[in-house]
Amino acid sequence: MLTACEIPFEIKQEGEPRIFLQGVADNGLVTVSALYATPIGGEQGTLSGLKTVFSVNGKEVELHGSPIPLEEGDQLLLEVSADGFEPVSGSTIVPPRPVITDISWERVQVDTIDATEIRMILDHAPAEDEYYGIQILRRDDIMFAGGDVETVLTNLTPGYILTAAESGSFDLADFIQVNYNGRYLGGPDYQPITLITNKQFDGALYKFYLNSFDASILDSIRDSMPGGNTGMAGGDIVSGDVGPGSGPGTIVPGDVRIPLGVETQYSFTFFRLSPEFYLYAKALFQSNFDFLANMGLIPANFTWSNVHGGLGFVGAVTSTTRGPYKFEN
Amino acid sequence: MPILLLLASLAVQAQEMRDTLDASRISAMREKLKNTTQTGLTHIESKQLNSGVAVFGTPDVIKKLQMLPGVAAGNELMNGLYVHGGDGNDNLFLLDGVPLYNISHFGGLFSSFNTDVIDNLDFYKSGFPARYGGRMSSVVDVETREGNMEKYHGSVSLGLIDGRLQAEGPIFKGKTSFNLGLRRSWLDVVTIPAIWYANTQNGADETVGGGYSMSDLNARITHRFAPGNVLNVCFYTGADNLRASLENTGSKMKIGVKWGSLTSSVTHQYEFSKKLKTKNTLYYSQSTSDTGYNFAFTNKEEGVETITSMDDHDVSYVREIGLTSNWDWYPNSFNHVRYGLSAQYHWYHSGRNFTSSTVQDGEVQRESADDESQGYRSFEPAIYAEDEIFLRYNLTVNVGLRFAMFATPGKVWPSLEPRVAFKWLINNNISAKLSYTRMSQFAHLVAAVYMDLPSNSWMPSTANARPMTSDQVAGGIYTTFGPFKFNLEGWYKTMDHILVYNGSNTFVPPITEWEKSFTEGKGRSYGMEVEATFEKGPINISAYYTLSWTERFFDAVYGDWFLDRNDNRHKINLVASWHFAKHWEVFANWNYHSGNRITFPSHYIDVAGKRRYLYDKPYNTQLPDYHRLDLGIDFSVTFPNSHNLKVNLSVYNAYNHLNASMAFLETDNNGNFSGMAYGLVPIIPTITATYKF
Repeated sequence: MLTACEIPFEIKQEGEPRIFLQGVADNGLVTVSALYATPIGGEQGTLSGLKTVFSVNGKEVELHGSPIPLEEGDQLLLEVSADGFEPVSGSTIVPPRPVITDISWERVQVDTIDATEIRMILDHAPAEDEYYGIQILRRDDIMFAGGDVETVLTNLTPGYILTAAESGSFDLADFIQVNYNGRYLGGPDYQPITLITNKQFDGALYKFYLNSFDASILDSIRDSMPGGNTGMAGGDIVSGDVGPGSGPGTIVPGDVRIPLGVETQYSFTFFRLSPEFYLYAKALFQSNFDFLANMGLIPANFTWSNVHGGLGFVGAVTSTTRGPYKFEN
Repeated sequence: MPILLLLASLAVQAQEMRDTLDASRISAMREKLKNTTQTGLTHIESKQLNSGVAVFGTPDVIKKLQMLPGVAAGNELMNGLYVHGGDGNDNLFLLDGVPLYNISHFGGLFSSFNTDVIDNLDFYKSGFPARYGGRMSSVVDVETREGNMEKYHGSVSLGLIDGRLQAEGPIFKGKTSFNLGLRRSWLDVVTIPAIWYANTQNGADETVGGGYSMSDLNARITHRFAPGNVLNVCFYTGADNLRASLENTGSKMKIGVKWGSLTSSVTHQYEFSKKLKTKNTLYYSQSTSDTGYNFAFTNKEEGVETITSMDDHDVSYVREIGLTSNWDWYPNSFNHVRYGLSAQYHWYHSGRNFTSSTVQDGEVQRESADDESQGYRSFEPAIYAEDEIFLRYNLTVNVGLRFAMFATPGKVWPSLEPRVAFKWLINNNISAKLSYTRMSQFAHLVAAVYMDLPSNSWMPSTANARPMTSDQVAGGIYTTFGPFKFNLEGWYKTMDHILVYNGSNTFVPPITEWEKSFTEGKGRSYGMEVEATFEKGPINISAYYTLSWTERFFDAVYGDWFLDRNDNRHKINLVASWHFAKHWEVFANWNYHSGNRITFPSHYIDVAGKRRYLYDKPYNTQLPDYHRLDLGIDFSVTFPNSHNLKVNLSVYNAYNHLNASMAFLETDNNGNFSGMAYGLVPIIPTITATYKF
């Protein structure tokens, strides 16, 4: 009964170019990106005569590209102007650095899957307006016959983390994850950061689960070999350069070596986010579902910005890194 | 032959009498509306509901209301009712005085109201009398019909996708009567051959199954002890049932979804004197959804059979038991005082249960279960009083006050709601009205999507989720000149503490601490409505125009006011009917409104060689304008035994204009952008035959 028909239509928007501003104070390192935001249907351009004014608690501070001593509660204001544009600005407050008082772990089963439950305890129970984020780095040291050791670094994505809150399959879909590398949020080639709100804490406890991949890294590497794992002797491996990235790495055919075992360690970077950072990151994540909003199915909640007169955001993060930990049986 | 002619003549006279009665009743109601103090009130009689174009062959209350000025319909074919900028989940639906939480079948394609048993309905968009409360944007007060006290009557209707049966008559002649209505779809029946054919094509290795059905049952028993002493017992149940299964070698999948409503009430009306009467109702209402799916995978390796299965079972409900006591007192010829109280006790529950297991050769190897649920109990007492004061022969004021309290664990929310309406009868033909009302809403629809899905659930206001409130001022000029009627009404409405889903789970909202997945904001709506009608003899023409603005402010979404998705700036509805011959009546509706709004990227930047789109504000793009013509024709014949056969042919979207249902931004090879909308709903002809006896 239902059919589909294409109806082209004209997009009636303001069509004015804007300044896209992204300013992040990350543990004192302040990074500012200002870009020419081309309107849909408009001409591309560049920003010229760019001026940046950065103030801390009302006092102008020069940015040199090196960390600035920032304190919890410092009020940051970033103003950017360019030729032909009205100045744009955004502000934020430096959040306190998260304090992790304890990390513990145990092997459990979550929905029939073997997992490692990580229990991270903060120095206080987060309040409603507190936002956090976590990056998990897994380091696999693969030992080969002959004494060679090869290291694979993997930033874990939701496929590896089972759930961020209490045990349960439903929380998996509660993940909000965007890319962040300390300088830029939402870039194409950065590392995933999982956002956490106070509702995912149980008091001061944040609990999440990791897939037990310690042993299967060998299978994973074997599967990526030419011919998969069908025609080669167990444990054979094709070596190549592997480095940090979002997966076990790209294997370049080369010498055939025999892996003897793997040692896996995890380290955790725990972030405290300013509300602006969180709201913008959440909007970025939800823009992945804009097609559903444009089918009239879900609300359009991906437009948040605190840059007055422009687009983007100004926010702040602090972080603490713990690890590496070896979760042995 | 002369006897046949005589019978035919009597039958025609009987039909004419019925028509005259209906016409006089409608005319009386029109007069009442002109004289009523309230603004924004539309009264619809059963005859109006059951005539005209019937989408899918079934007359639908909500689709009738969608055509009225000041109402946006949202997504095409769905039961959206966005009244004066409302959110669609802020309308109070009363069926014989009982609140109905779920008013839709099939995801919103059909409404739960069976028009065969409806007597009339009052639809308030503003000027809410103090006796109504609990919702923010509108009141739809539906009254079913008393059964005939003297004779047995009934009707049978057959449509393409459903059938209806209605019967009424005396239980004890002149004292007690019943009115019964039953409706059921037969989509599940008509899909049987298709499923059978699919299975023959799949072969023995794969079997598919499934079907969908909906049903409604309305029953009303009326007993008259004496004039002015009447007891009514009303019952309604509506159910939807969707099931699907797929079984092939090694795997089984079953999905079952049931959802529906149930209401029952006992109402006693008693007239102490001409000056004092009362109506007391004890009722129960519930809305339930029950969703389950089961996956089982069987693997056999080296003689060992392993069955891995997953079961999910979600149940949500809202139950309400309530008591209302309404009194009408006429102390003198200048005052009509209404007062009363209500008390409602609610149970809200939403639960999900997930289990999984691995069984090897009959032995459980692994089993896990995950339960989560959220439940609340709340108590909502309210008292009200209103006085319709006839200050002068041409000046009337209705002053009312409603005080409600909502007690939920850890919090009590009080709400004082003033209601005032003025009417100035300028002359016999023209009146002017003005009203102010404040409304509160203590129930929130927890839904991640804008569809009436079983995964949606109702939750109460809590310590974290404040009650929603609205304040509305409305006023207008209402005129009647012979067959012409012309009304002009304007409104300004603000809404506070409204919620929008802002969680990250795209389809299923969380159950526990659901409040944190919604962000609070405010809304405003203003505009004007013009209504012009011409009604003379067999011709009835109505034209409605709405000019309106609907805006939202959600700090966590945008930080400034923005136009809402249902901001249909202009809306025009033209409705005409012509009883051009004894047996024939034709209908035509033309519907137009400015397109709904969607959110397109407004800008883009290029980062590391990749394009990233940016959004300046929500709902920044308007879809192409919506327009559609519906046509209908009734052939009606009354037999000598007074039985009547009516055949209705309706054509939805007669000129097959596919209206935009969704849209996406597209880029061509040269980097040029354009919007591409997709229309889904074509011309839909339906035929329905109704036999009345």
